[in-house]
Amino acid sequence: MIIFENVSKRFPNGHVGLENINLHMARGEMAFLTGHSGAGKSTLLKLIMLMDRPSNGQVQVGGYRLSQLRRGQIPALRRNIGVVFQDHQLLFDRSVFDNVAIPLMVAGFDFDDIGRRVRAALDMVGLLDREKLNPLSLSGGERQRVGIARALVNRPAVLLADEPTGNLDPDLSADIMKRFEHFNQAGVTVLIATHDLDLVQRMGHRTIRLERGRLVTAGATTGEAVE
Amino acid sequence: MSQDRTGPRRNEMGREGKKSAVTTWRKTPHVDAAAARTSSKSQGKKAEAPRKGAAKNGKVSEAGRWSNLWRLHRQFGRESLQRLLATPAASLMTVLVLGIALALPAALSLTLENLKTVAGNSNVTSARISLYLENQVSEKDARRMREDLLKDSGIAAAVYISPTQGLAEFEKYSGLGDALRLLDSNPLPGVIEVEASDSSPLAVSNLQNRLKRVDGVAELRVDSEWLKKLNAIVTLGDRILTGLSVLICLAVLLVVGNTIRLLVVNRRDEIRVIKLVGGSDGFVLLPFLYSGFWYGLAGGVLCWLIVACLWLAVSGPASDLATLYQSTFRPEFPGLNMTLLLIGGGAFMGVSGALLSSWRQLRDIDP
Repeated sequence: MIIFENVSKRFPNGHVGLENINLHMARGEMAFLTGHSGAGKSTLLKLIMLMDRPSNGQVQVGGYRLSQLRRGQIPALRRNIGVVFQDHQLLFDRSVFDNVAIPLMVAGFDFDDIGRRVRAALDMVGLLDREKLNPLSLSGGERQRVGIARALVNRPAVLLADEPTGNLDPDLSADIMKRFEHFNQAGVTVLIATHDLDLVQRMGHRTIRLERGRLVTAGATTGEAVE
Repeated sequence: MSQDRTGPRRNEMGREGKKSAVTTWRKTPHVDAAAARTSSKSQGKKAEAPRKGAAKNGKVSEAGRWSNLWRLHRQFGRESLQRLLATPAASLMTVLVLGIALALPAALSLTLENLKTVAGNSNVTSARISLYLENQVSEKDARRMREDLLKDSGIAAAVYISPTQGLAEFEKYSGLGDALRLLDSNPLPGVIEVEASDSSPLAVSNLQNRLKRVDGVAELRVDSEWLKKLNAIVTLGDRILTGLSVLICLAVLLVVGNTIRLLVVNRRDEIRVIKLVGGSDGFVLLPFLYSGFWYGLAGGVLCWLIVACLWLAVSGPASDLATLYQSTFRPEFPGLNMTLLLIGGGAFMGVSGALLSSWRQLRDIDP
């Protein structure tokens, strides 16, 4: 599902974000991406959803070589990738409900269907009673959960999460991770960047470790998810 | 792979590509079981209802897609209008600028239309020819000349105005009587005013030629001369209108464009987020087109109001002026065509301005 071939990313200021990454994630696999901050976790996730392009090498997602994707196809790619952003990326000029509805709106979902799906997603993160509020009035943890609901609302094929449990208490973190696992069992490929190593070990999924832009441990592809 | 997707078939391929990108992503396409379980807690039976529409992407029916599109447009239209009304002062300024700018060519065009009506009005063109007689022609001769002229079939009426009468009239209308009294003698010649029975330009010009040869006529002046001048002015006005319209259209495009550009700058974050979750360029563009549409529409309506006010202010004096020229002409109120043109044109220019300014800008917001 996600393939990195000799991928390097150098930033214009000379900083090396990623160096010669080779990585293969099978369809329906779940993996954690760990490493210190600045190790390149976010950069790697950005390359997958074309927020950035590699300086060298090839990234393939869902069978598409991203370097050959035309501009007009990028939205279609992103609709298949749900992303939980580290900084939430919520819009403060609209309600929680409308924030979660954006991915459905842009994908042309049936209007009657949107309300149902948004509420299902909000229910899943336990924020159903907050749908009318503005994200500004929510706590950091709640905003994070709104972000999670938005990432999952259109049931993407790939889920990327950048520190999704950074602001959550342990119970809620575990719960959210369970949700991710749930989705994974339903066929969604999940890649979670985190430095909560305790949680990673408890969950027992494949762990990919980055250090200063280099791949230290690629982890083994778990048997059940092999294509 | 990328080469064969370019060229004229690009659009189809794009759509196909999108579809296949959506449908080939995973083997088990939906996770409804899990969703139904989670949502049934709160929503009871509703979650069990068959999921129509986008449950499996791309299976939205044709009618459903149109109705979705319609609702999307309605929502965007409403939202952009609300946004415009949320900053009434700023919006009013923009609309005022648009309205006033558009009112310039509109008012000029209305004036020209009315002048053209005047120029084509037969009542006014009924040609009068003034024969200025030579000084030595006595009053008695002049009266005889008038009798002779009346026998001409091309002449409907002839009136003799003696130098004394002429002087009296001149004093009355010009207010220069005192100046005239300084002169030793009456400088005015006798005049015979002739009205042609046929006012077509050819007949008038024939008559003119005949009258030129009459003995004792020093000079003759066709009263419809000013109509020719008016025609020339109208032609010139048309040119000026064209040039002015082009300039004003450019100005309107720039004003709308600049306003929309600021809107885009203000909503950069929103656009970024929408693009991050898969919004296409068209999707983020649409609200701004609607903003431009509303600005243009409001500008067009305002422009119409301004023109209507101008008309109300000017029509009275214009009628008076027309009466002085013995015309029954009455200035015409901007009609339905003009109204539609102003409002429709305003809206069109609003959308164009928005498109021109935001398209590039929105493409450049590339998360």
